[in-house]
Amino acid sequence: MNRKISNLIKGFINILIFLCMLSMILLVASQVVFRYVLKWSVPWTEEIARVFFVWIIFIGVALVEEEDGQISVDLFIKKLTPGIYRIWKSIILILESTFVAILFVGSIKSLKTVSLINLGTVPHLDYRILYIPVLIAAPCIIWFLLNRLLALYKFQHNKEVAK
Amino acid sequence: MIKLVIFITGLIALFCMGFGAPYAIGLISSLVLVIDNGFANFPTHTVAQKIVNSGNSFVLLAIPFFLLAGELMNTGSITRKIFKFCNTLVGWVPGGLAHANILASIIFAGMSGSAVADAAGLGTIEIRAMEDQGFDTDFSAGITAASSTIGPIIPPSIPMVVFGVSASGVAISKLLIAGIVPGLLMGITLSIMVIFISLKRKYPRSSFPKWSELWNDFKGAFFPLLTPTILIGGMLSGIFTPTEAAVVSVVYAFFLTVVVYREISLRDLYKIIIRVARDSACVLFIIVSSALYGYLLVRAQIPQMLIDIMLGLTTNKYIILLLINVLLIIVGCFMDANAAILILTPALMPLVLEVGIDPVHFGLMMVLNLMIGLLTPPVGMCLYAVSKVAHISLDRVVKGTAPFYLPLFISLLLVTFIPELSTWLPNLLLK
Repeated sequence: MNRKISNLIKGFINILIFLCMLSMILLVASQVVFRYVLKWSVPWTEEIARVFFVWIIFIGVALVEEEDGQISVDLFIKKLTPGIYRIWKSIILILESTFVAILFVGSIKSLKTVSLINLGTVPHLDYRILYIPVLIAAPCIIWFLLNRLLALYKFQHNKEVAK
Repeated sequence: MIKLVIFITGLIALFCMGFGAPYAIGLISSLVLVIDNGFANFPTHTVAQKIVNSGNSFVLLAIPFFLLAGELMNTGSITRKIFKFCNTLVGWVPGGLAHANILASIIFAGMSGSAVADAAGLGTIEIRAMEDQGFDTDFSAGITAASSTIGPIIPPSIPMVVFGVSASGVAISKLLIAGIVPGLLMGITLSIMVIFISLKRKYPRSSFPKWSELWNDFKGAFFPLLTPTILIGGMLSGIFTPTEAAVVSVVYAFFLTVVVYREISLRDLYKIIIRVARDSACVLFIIVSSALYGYLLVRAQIPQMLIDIMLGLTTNKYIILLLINVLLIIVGCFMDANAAILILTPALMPLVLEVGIDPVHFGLMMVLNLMIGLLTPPVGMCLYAVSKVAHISLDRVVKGTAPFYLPLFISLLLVTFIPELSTWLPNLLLK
């Protein structure tokens, strides 16, 4: 069941991030064409490209967590005994989830304040558009972090059953 | 003083204890906010706003573009063409393929801003070719790892963009162009060491090439060789900003690999774009988390504290540069280069400006130093990448890399004490 949900989330994130990347590339490339070939300045391309960029950062983190790909130093903790390693890794995953939760709560609180600020070149869009990816990504990130936490104990349980 | 200890040692401790880099930065920042405001008044909105707003930067867009261009150009036939051309050009010098390895890294550095991409992509072809010609595996792996550190020095460069963003006010195009001379210097010092080792171990070399052979290999590598020309030329002529130059190189790399060489199918392209987005997010999450850390660092007046401590010890700018180098080497052993740049730049920049050091010179020195950190365990990313592609243990890669620390440190010292090596070209070409 967990795996099914994880695959579903991953599939959704893959498509979303692909679309964001493609849009961002096309927007900046078209900005170059507009400015240097057609001699026509189109400022909204830059601003919308930046919005897609912020989406890529936070949605991408969910993908990083799904693959356990965050940059970290595990040389020292790998020297711990399996029991202590499991406990220590659990503490790390819980604290990392806590930080993501802080970001999530902070983004919800910020929505009201930033709704008053419009994007300079696209007035019908406001700054909430920058916080939406956090609201989408944070639950996914926490899901993947907690899945890794569960896997730590499931793996141990399976080993004990096998014995 | 307690805050200084929390900020610096607390962060390094969290890194070493296995926390993901952005989380270590975010958790330390949160701890400082708890100390300042208490749990009840914890400003979650400050955390979110600092982190989200710092991602809203056009300059940073260059990072996924540089990564994507490098990833597209890192396909089998293009890397093989470049390596073949380099071997024909310099394979006759004592050390043969080892020089081709260095030259290929220099050329590839003009397409990709990442040392690990160079080590993993070019490394596979280079190490196999060197082993087939009779070079020791350890030596082949060592020179591959060492030369890959040139990647982020010669433009395009992700660490240079990261430095430019954290040291606000420094022109990114100046920083990027500043890397050309030091990057070539690194190549020359590594080549000298290769000649010494090769003559001692009697490694093979090719015969001097015929002009026709050289011309044919040049023709084969011509289109990939245009990438750095477009990128650097575009920035130098003032036609493109670094981000625009990066996207132009993406479009060119796409045209070359998908249309001309037909190396990449649309399905592959989908996978590559997702992989690049993931890898970019990995670096960018560290960058945006560091914005909060940098804000708190300045608010706690840590840079001022560091200035007072350092100026209390000495006012000689060269001794200060030496001390900073020692600090960076230690930090580089334990911390990812981009994270180290983001954390240390806001703390060190005021000191650097106070003693009259050119920020472009400082940026170059810092990036070069931290690139050497990619070759030092336990967090030597290039060592791990090469160990994987060479199928040998980390110990053997370290052993193979050991002789090349000397030329790299010589390059670092030259860049540290001769500022013109990094400032001359950007001052000449960019006003």
